[in-house]
Amino acid sequence: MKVAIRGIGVVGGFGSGLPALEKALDGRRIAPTDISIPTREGAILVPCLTADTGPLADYIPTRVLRRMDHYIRLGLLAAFGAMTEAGILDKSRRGRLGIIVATGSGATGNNYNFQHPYEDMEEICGSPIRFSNSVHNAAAAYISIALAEMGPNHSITHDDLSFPAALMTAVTWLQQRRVDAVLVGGVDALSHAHAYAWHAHRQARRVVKNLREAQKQIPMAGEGACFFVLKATGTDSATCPVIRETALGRICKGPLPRPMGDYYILGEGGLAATRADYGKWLLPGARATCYAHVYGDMAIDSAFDTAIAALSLRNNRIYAAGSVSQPVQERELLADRSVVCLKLGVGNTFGWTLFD
Amino acid sequence: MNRVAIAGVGCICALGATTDDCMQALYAGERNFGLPSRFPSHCSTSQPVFEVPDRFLDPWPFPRTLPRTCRMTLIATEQAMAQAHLETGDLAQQRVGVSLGTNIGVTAGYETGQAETVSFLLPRDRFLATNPTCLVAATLDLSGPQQTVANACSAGSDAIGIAAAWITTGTCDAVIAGGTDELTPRVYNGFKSLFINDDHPCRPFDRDRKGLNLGEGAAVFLLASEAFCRSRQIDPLGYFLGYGAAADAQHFTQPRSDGLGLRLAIDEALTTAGLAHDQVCFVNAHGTGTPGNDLLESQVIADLFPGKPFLSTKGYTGHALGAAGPIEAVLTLGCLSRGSLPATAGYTIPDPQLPAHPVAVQTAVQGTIAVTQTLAFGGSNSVLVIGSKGCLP
Repeated sequence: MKVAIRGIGVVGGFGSGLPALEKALDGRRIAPTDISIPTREGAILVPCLTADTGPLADYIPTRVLRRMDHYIRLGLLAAFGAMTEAGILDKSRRGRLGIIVATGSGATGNNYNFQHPYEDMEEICGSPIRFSNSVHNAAAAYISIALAEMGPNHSITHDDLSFPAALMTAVTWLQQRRVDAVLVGGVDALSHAHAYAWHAHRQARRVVKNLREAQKQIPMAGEGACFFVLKATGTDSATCPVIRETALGRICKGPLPRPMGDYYILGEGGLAATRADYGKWLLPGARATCYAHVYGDMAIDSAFDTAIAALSLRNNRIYAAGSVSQPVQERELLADRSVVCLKLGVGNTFGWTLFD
Repeated sequence: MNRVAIAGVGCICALGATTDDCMQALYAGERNFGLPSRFPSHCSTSQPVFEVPDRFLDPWPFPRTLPRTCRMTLIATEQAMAQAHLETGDLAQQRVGVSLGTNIGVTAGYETGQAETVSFLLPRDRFLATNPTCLVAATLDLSGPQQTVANACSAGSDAIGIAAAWITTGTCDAVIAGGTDELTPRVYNGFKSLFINDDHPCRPFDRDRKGLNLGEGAAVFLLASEAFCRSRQIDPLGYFLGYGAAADAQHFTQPRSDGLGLRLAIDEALTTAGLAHDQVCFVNAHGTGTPGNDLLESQVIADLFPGKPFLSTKGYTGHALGAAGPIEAVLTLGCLSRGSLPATAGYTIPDPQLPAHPVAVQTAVQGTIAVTQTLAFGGSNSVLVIGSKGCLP
C-alpha cells in the first residue's frame, strides 16, 4: 500500500523543526554538549548531541509540562511539529488518528532515577511520578493525552529496528482502515547509561585505532525525536513524499531481500563493523549516503533518515554526506530516481523503506 | 483476508508450569502467592506477589544465565510449538514473525545494573542478549518480522493484535505472539509508590478490595493462517476473531472514569470480528482488584454485555504486566473449551456500588466466543475476541 507523508516534526542536536535539520544537512556546524557522568573513578565528560525542548512551551503551558521528563518532552515536541505541518492539530480536522512511538532506550534514564535510591538504600519510598514516567510508553501516552486522541496507541521498543517496525505497523493500520491517519515516530533521550556505553565503546576502539580515526568513524551519541503524519495516498497528496513499500525481517540463508533503489540512505551510524554488511545490500551502481553526523548515534536513527529522504523528495535533491562507498560528495539532483532507507539491526534483522 | 487460527499455546505463571497445569490449578482454586523471595523490599511493609517458582523453570534446557523473562518466553514458545506438533527447526527460514509484549524485556538488562558498572557492550548488544523477541527468532531461525511491544500492561494483548494483522494482511504465514514479564525490585517498589497494591491476596470486584498483587509469567500463541495449518495438518485449537484498542487520553495512571476508551476498544474488536455483543458468552475482565479499575469495568460490562457472566483471573495469577493479556487469553480459550468458568478468586462480598458482579462459583457457559480485556498505564485499552474450535459456522 502506498502511504503519503503529510507532516514531519523533528528535534535533535541540530535544533528543532525542518529548517534546522536542512541547515545541518547543508553543513551548519552542530556544537556538542559535554555530559558529566559519575563513575567510581570520578566524573567523565562525554561529548553528545543533545536536544533542547524549549520550543514545546509554544504548544503546552509550562505548568502542565512540570511532570513530564525530557524523554516525554522530546516526543511531544516532534509530534506537535508533525501534526502542525499536516494541518491536523485541530482535533475536528483529523478523523481517527492512531499513535505509534518507537524508542530504542525508552525511559531508561527515568528508570535509573527511580531505582537508584533503592539500590543506595537512601530512602524507603520512591517518587510515583518517576516510576510512572519510567514506563516505556510514557511518551506515547502523554502524546495521546496532549492531543486528546483516543485512537489506538502503541509503543515499540526493538532497539535499532524500533522505527522500521513502527512504520510497518503504521502502514498495516492504514491498510486495515483501522484509522484515517497515523502519527508515527521515534524518540530517544540520552541517559547516563547510553552515553557511558557509547564512551566505553569508543575508548575500546581507540585501543586498536588512533583517536582521529575512531572519532571519524563513530558519530557522537545523540538524542531527539522525529515524527510523521501518514495517510493513504489520495488526490490531495500529489505533492507529498510517498512510501511505496516497507519491509522488516531477519536475514537467513539465501539471497538478501534487497529493495530496488537508486539512492540508499544507510542507518549505519558510522560503525565500521557494519559497513561491509551494508555494502552487500547495495545494487550495482547505486549511490549511498549516511547522515549520522547530523543527528548522532541513537537507536531510532532511521526515523531521521526517513525525514531526510522525505526532504530530499520534496526538494528534489540528495544532501551531501561522506564516508560510505560511492558517496554523494555534494548536493545532487534526485530527478525521478528512487530512494531507500536501509537499517540493519540486532540479531541479523533488517528494515527498509522504499520511497517514490 | 486470512483467518487467524490458534495452532498452539504455551503458558507459565504462578498457576502452573504448562497450560494444562494452569487450567487444572484454576479449576482447583489454587492461589500460589507469597512475599517476594528473590529480592528484598526496602519499604516497611511487604505485599504478596504471585511468583513463578524456580521448579517450574529448572527442568527446561534454557541457560540459567538468561534473564527470567527470556527463559519463561522460550518455555512458553516450546510448549506452543509442541502443541502444534512442530520441532524447533520446523519453522526455520520461513515467513514466520515474532511479536511479543514486555516491559522488563526491553530494558536491555539494566533493571539490576548501574550506569557506572555497565559493561563495554553497546546497548544494542545488551538488548540482543536480553530481549525475548530476538531470542525466540534466533532460536527458531525465523525470517519474518520482529516486534517488541512496550505498551505497559496491555503490551502482550497489543502484540497479539499486531501479530493477527500480519496474518490477515498476508505479511506472515505464522507468528509467535504473546507476552512476558518478570518481577523486579523496580516494578515491586514502583507499584508500592503508587499505593495501588493490596497487602492481602487481591480481591477483584469485591467490596473490600484494596488493590492488586503483582505476578509474572509468559504466554505464547502460535498464530497461523488456515493454509499454514492445512499444509502441516494442524487442527486449530481456536481462532483469534477480533482485536480493538483505544486510548483514554485523560490520565497516565488512572483509568478513565466513564470507560470510554474501553468501550471504543470493545466496539472495534467486535466490529473487526463481525460480531454483535450478544454473541459473546463471557468476558474475562482485566479485574486487577483496584477500586477504580473494577468499578469502571463493571459499569462497561453491565452496559455492553448485560447479564453475561464475567470473571477475573488475577486472583490466581497476580498482575503479570505485559504477560497479563496473553495469560488471560490462554485461560479464556481454556474456559471456552471446557464450557465453564472458575470462581473469581478473592471475590466473596458483592460491592453495592458495582452494577455487575463476577462469577463467585464455578459456572457453566454456553457458547463459543469470549472477550478478554486489558487496561494499562498510559490509558491503553486492548480487547481480544477469541473463538473456540467450534466458533466457525
